[in-house]
This record gives sequence, C-alpha cells and structure tokens, in this order.
Amino acid sequence: MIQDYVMQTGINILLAWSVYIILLSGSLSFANGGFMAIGAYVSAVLTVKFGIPLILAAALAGAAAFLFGIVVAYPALRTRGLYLILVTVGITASIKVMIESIDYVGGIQGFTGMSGASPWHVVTLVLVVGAALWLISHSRLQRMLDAVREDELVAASLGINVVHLKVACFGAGAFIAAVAGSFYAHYLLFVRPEDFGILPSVFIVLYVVLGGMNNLWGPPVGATIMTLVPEFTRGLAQWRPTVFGILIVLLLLVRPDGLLPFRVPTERRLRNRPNNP
Amino acid sequence: MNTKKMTRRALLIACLALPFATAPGFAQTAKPPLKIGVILPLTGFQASYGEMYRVAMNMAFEDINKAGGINGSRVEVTIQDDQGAPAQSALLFRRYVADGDVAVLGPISGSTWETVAPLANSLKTPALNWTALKPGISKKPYALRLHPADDIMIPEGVAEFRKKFPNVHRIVIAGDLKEASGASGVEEFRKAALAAKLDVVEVVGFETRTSDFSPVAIKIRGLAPDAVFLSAFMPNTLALLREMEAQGFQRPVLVNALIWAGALPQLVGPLGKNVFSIGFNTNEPAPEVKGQPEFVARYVKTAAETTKLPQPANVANTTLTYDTVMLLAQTMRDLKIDGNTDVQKAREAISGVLSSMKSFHGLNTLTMLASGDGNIRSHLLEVDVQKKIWKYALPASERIGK
Repeated sequence: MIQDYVMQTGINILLAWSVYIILLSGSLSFANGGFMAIGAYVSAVLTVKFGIPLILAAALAGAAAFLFGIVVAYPALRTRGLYLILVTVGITASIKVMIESIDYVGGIQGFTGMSGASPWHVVTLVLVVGAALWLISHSRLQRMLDAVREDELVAASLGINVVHLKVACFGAGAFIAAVAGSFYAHYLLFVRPEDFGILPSVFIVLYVVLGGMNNLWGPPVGATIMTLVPEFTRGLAQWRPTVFGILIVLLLLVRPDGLLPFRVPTERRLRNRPNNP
Repeated sequence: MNTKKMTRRALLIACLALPFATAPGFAQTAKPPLKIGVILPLTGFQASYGEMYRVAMNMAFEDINKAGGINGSRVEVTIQDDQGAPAQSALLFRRYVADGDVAVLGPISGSTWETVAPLANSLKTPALNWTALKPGISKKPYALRLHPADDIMIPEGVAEFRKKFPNVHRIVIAGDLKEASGASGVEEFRKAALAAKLDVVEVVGFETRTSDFSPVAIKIRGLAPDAVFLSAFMPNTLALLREMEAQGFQRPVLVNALIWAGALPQLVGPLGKNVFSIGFNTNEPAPEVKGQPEFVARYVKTAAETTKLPQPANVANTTLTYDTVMLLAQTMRDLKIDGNTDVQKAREAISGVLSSMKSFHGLNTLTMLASGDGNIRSHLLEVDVQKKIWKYALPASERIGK
C-alpha cells in the first residue's frame, strides 16, 4: 500500500515540478495534462507494440513531448497572462481530441497492455529532477530566469535570449510531464483520453499554487498534501470532497502565496551577504 | 469447596455454554475473518448508483454472516468510495490486495472496471463486476463480469421493441460518441437496428456534459424518425426527453441499460410514457423466481429506512449485486476456504472456479460466456408512471426467450 502512495505522490510531484519549471520563466501552463497524455500514449505504444523497455520508452516519450512542447511554445508564448492560459488550455483539449481520433491507440476506447512501472522508477526520477532543479536554483541560470520572470524587457536588454529561455523551460516542463505520464500509464495499466482532460491540468497547477511557486520545495509539498489528504480522510465518507475543498480554500486564504512562499537565495546572493567572509 | 461441588459447577457451566458453542456466532470467533473489498462510487455523479448497490451488498453480507459466515469464518467487508474515478479504483484495488482481501467486488462503471480488469490479472486477485455494459472489457481468469454487456442486451431489447412497435421503420440513434460506454452503446444499437432491418436515418452525437439539448432535439425532429434509440446516462436522457416534449416531438425512445438502474422512474414523471429500456428485473414481484418477491420487498424497505434514494427504490440489477456476493460465498464454501487459508491460494482457487463456471442460479439465472461476461435474458422495460417503477413492456407470454 505504501508503494501505491509513493507512486501516486511521486508522479504528482513530477507533474507539479513540470509546471514549476515553466513558471520559472514567468509562464503559467495548463497544457501539462496534455503533455502527460503524450508521454502516457507514446510510451505505451513503444512498450506494448514495439517491445521497447519502459525506461527507454519513457525517455523517448519525454523527447517527443519536448519537441511538441517547443513547437507549440513558439507561437503560444507570444501571448501573455490570461491569453497564454487559454492557449495552454486549448493545447490540452487539442491533444485529447487528437488521441480520441487515433484508432491505432484505441481512440476513445483507451489503450491497455502496459506494465512494469515500479515506485523505484518514480522515486529515482523525483531525486534526479529535484537535484537538477536544486542545481538550477543555485546557478546563474536561476538569476537569468528570475530576470525574465520579473521583467522580460530588462532581461532582454541585459543580453538574455528571453524567447529561447522561455521555450526551453516550456519544453523541459513538457519532458518532465511526459515522463511522469509514462510511469502513470504503466502503473495504471489502462489509459484513455478522458483521463487527460483539462481537470488534471488544473490540479497540477493547484499543487504548485498551494505549495508555493517561488522555490522548488513548494510544488512537492503541495502535490504531497493534495495526494495524501484525500486518502487519509476516507473515514469522512461523503463529506470528504467537501472537507478537502474547504481545506484548500482555507489554505489559500491563510497562505495566499502557498505553504512555502520563500525564495531560495542563489550562490551569488549568498556570497554577497555582508556577514559572509 | 469440595471436589464434588466443583465438578458439579463445571458441568453446569459447560451445559449453559453448550448452546453458544454450537451456535454459528461461536464458530465465527474460532477462525480469523475472510476479508472482501468493495469499490463503489459513494460520492460524485454516480453516488446514487453506489448507494443502491451498497444496500443490496449489505443485505447479502448480513445474510451470509447470520448463517454462520463461510466455513466458520465471519466475512469482513470493507466498502470504499472511488468517486467513479478510474485512478481511485485502481488505487483502492491495490489497497485491498495489499490488505489481504481474498476478492474484490466492483468497481461498477465501464471505465473504472476497464481500468481494474488488467490490474486484477496482474495482481492475481479475483474481481467481480455486476453492472458494466461496455463489451469486451472483462479479462479472464481474474476479472469477471456477471452482467450481460450491451452487445447481448441491446439486440434482445431491440427485438422486443420491434414486437411492441411493428410500425417503426425509421430510427435515429443518439449518444455521446466521445465517451467509451456511450459510443459502444451507439455502435451496438446500430448493429442491432441493421439486424432487425430498421432504417438508421442518422447517428446524432452529443457530449455527456451538454446541458442544452435543444439542438440535438431539433436535429432529431428534423430527421422525422419513427423512434429514437439512445445510449445515454439518466441526466442526458431526462434533458433530451424534456426538450423533445417542449418541441412537441413525441416518439418512443429506447435507451440502453445505462438508465435501467438509478432513479429515472421516480424522476421522469409524465415524460416516462415514451421511455423504454432494457433489463432483466423490475420492482414487480416475479413469483416464478424463487426469492425474488421477498428480495424486492426487503430491498425497497431497507433502502427506505437506510438511504435517501428516491422512493420506491429501483431494484433493477441489485438482484445481481446480491447474486454476485452469494456466488462468491458459495464458491468459497465449496472450496473450503476460511480465514486460515493462505490468501493467495484462496484467490487462485476462487478465480479457477469462477472462470470455468458455466452457470449460476440465484435470484437470476445466469450463464457464463467464454468472454468472461455473464448472460441473463433481458427484456424490454417501460416506466409505470403511476407507481414510479420499471415494468415489463410486453406480457410474459409475448416476451422473447421467456
């Protein structure tokens, strides 16, 4: 049972980080449910129909989503704010409709035959992605991303290639979401387009908002709480969704910037502190 | 106290304890319980279905435990809510497997069952379903569905519909073509209509989440069919019926078994006069079926006392819910499984027997097909608007296969 909690929480942490990495450059994405679908279906086809090992299939599915992500990012990231949100919602809806129309992957009837995902895959991936994000947060890249997020014009005037940076973040987010989707499909053993509608994308963003979007620790905290609280409140029976909803509203009222709102200081900031020798 | 007195007292205590020792309750405490998991949607839009099946399930387990449990072991049932969400169903199924449950009953909908079926085989744990309609989703030997699928029920219902309405020639089929159960129902209706030599004028699609059915009703009215075949859940059916009524278009509407269970007879009101569905049981007592009248009376009473379901509670396929539990209990009794039996061996033995089972006689008489699905002869049903229940649309003498 613990393994199942680990699996679900791990997948949701990866999904939360997939949104966080896009947020690093100042863009909010509701397309990650769609990228997750690409990962789930591409990896499922590769393992079931071509017999490719899961790890390789997940990597290839991630690469496919990365390419798809950067292709759609170029036009999508020309928009800002609400318009960008609507575009990313549209991407998720389009991916779902596209999968529904492909008979090769079962269309609306879904796709099955996968197996082999274990909690160790997900735990390892969480550690790898977490380490990568930690390194980024202490690097020059983080300062560039901060600049882009705070003011794109100023960042561009400093010589930062804003477009490349934003597109790269979008692609990286798509990659992580797709790999998470690969393990999700091979854990659930059956996937269908309905699993990847707009609602999962909203939940993924909620993980980040709830946990805090200013540092890499917030998204996993939000994802963990939102995954485990419903599980440990089953005793509330039909009151469970109500209590869960109230809890989210309360958390957002009390901690509007998330549970962990602090910013992680970069190495340079740490070095420049007055009391630092 | 002398020895004689002590012996007499011991004998007296032993005599007093004798009736308890031979009672079923005593035997139950002697062995560990047998654990069975149940997955039902108790919240969310399928909650009313979960509630109606929970009543029947509790009745069955109550009867089993009252009769002494299974081979001396009390049955310990855990019912958990999956909210009708496939991921939750999978999680709960894995939890039951980890907790050492010998079998899992449910989940109930096509999409949740389809998710759990491969998992049941992967984890080698028997899972039984008594409701899902989508064809081809059971997976032997561990995931078995006792309910007939749409590919069996719809042709039987259409055949009786033709008998009731011999002048119907042109039909329109409607349903959610982007939802797996809805789309498979539409496809089965199309095949059945063609087999019955009906002229399918057009297939009209809509989305389950649609709230405005006026364009759908306008389109159907424009096609001027003699009848409508519909693959839809109750809310969509009610909305479409209201819209057709508002537009003055009154034709018989045959809906697949998606509306047979649930509260449509209680909620449909006068619109129910044109509604037909397909099923194998109603609230009407069937004295020819042993135990059915008693079950119906008890179910309606229990549901009235313990739930907020619209009254009188729709019995529908809750008879099969009861049968499913009884079949599992009977199988375990025959296999001499009790709380001391190794769980994995028990699971494999149960699966072995159930997957090779040919038939079962309970409140329903069902035969098992090679696909892992059950087959029970279904009939055309109509709403008794006054009594707010389903009733057979044809008299017993005219029903096909009765």
